[in-house]
Amino acid sequence: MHNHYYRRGNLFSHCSYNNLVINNIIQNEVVKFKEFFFTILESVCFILGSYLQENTYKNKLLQCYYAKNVGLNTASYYLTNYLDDKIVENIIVKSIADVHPFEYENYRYAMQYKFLSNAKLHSKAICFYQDYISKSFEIRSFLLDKEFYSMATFTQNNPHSKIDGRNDPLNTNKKTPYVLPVDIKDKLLDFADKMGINTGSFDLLFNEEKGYLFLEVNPSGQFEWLSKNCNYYLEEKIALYLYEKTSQY
Amino acid sequence: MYRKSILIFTTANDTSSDEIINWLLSFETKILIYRINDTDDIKINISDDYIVIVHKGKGIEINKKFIVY
Repeated sequence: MHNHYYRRGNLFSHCSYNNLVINNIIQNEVVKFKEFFFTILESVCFILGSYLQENTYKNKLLQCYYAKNVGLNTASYYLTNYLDDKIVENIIVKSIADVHPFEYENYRYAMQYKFLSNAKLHSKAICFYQDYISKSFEIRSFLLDKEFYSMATFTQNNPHSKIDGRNDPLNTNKKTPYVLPVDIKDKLLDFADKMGINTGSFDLLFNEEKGYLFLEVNPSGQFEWLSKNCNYYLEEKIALYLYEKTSQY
Repeated sequence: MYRKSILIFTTANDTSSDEIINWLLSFETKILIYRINDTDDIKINISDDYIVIVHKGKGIEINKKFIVY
């Protein structure tokens, strides 16, 4: 094997059992197996994307920590299982991990960011809260071979996407190719180095007072809509990159 | 014969992967592309000196010590 592209997905994701306790034991075994398997795989060939790095750093807290570490601005965040009344305004509740859409009792659910509407928490579980920042536009930027392919999306005037830019059911938000400033690009590359990732989809926003703010990175995020909307032909670029790396062996 | 090979882990409905594979095949038709979707039924055999994945009846070499199925 010369080359490995971890695009997304998993091994044995369909292995599940009705008994919750047994299922947890089996899933823990599978997790440990995958850690071993991908460690060996990633050590014997060139890799684009990484199962190991993705599972370590698909964590908004770590991402915010490293973003600040390289000099990127982020929205202020709080991690607590108790919210004081004073800080409830203009706060969005998010998940720390990436929550994939899931099915439960014949309904399909997907995680979206929401304003916190009630000061009283119904759960004692620890939650991740982040200041809401109004934006001039949002940026999705795809990293490949140390280059960023970016798109600005004007989400603020659409009530659906005002809080969560992904929520644009009618696909009416204006999108345009965008070039990141050199200093932001350099900081994002530093950030990617610290995270050990060589590809991924970065989300940022631009606020007129605060400038560019880092939101998150998804190492296996979707880029098809970015590629199509901006005519970047990312699929061709990824294929060429993989092919050239394979040819070096 | 020496052939280039690429292993892609992805999901069954990922159209980006479809396009990437089509582009790869347009560069060189003889390239070996193994696409493993997360819903695929694969067999894995690992011992202390080899790793083999059997996918759709074909063995895939992971390290240098390849066992042919």
